[in-house]
Amino acid sequence: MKELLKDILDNDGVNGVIILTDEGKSIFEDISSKISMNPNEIDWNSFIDAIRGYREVELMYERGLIYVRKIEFGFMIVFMEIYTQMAMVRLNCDIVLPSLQDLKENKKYKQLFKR
Amino acid sequence: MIKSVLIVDDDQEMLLALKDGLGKYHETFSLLLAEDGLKAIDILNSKTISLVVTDLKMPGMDGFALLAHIMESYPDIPVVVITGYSTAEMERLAREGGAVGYIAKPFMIETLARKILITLRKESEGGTLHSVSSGIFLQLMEMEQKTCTIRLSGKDSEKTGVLFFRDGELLDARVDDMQGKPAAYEIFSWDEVTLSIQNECPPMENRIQSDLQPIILEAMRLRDEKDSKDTESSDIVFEDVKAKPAKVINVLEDIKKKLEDNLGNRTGMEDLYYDNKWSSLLDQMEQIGSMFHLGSLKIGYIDSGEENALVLIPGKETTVLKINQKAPRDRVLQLLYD
Repeated sequence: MKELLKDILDNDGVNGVIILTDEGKSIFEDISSKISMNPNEIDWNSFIDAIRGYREVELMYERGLIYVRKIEFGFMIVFMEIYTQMAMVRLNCDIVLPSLQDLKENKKYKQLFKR
Repeated sequence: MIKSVLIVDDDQEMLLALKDGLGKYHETFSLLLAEDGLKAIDILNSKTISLVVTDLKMPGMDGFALLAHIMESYPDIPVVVITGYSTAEMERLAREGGAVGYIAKPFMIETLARKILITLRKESEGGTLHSVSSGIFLQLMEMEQKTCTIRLSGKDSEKTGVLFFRDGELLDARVDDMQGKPAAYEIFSWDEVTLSIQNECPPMENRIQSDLQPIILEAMRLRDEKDSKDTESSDIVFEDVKAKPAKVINVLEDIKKKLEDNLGNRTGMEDLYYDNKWSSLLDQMEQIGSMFHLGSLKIGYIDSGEENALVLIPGKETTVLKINQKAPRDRVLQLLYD
């Protein structure tokens, strides 16, 4: 999975990517040490409920950006520095989306999607 | 946040020597000076002090009495004792009385400076956050059942305050000489705060005796009441019906003008209006940002895959900018962010 998301993670300013299922279960995390919060400590369910129905959400904070992209089985969340070239990150997300959608059929990840 | 250290000593020369010697740490802490315990209490009642350094033998209220008063009324403020009459018994009494440090005179100023710096560091050991919404952040403290002491300063207020949490329960609050619920109402009325977290809470009684949510709501109500009184007593009298729309139009017009000035007729703007139905979504997003220490939310962009996307700008009223697919999205967001 990390190889699949390499182009996103390699963007200057990207601090991490999380992939969540529609139920808020994390199936992939690659978070830089710059992010002091442990993503496992977050109740993603309520966040997912809030953004359900949106294709893209972009959040600009004082000290960083969060980009959320709907994928077939859940959401991809990208954490970035404020200076990150968003257009490039979105482009890389567009490129990787079809491969992510194939994941659900991949034996290695299949069990993660079982409730 | 520059911290304030109060030095109490009846020896004027000593006070001046300490003021000179510790002056080089002015970027970390500022100094306040008092000649005896009673003057120190006046300062404690009117300023937020991070640490007290006190002599023991002083006329009027001596160092032991001051130490006892601080432990009773300001248990979060550490006290370092300095004395020219040091004995083992004095040190034992000072430490049992709650002093975190004991230094016999004469001493090197660097020894005291080191003790001050180490003690002050504890005040923000759990981290410092800038420009966060106090209500949202403190509800997280409650949810996560934190035990901590939080020191806050309001962006628009010169005051600083302290909140004490044990296992997520707000036990007490203090702003100047105000304590308990009135102090909590004051703190929760500050829009954006800078706060530092100390991962411990001194033993103290529960003066609040209430969940956080009602306190926050009451603080908001009191602030609104105060704002409306301020408006009523203002020299400029607006008719009630006209005042609010005039303000709304100005903010919206400012945004429209900014976009048009920079993008000409390529703004992609379809509509621009206020709609508070997005507030709860923005609150959720603000919470996520706080958890990742990203500061306050400035702009939200949502795309449902329909013809138009929405740009949401948080505020007392949520501004909604509807843009079409031809809009230069990144440019629009950057302009509004700036």
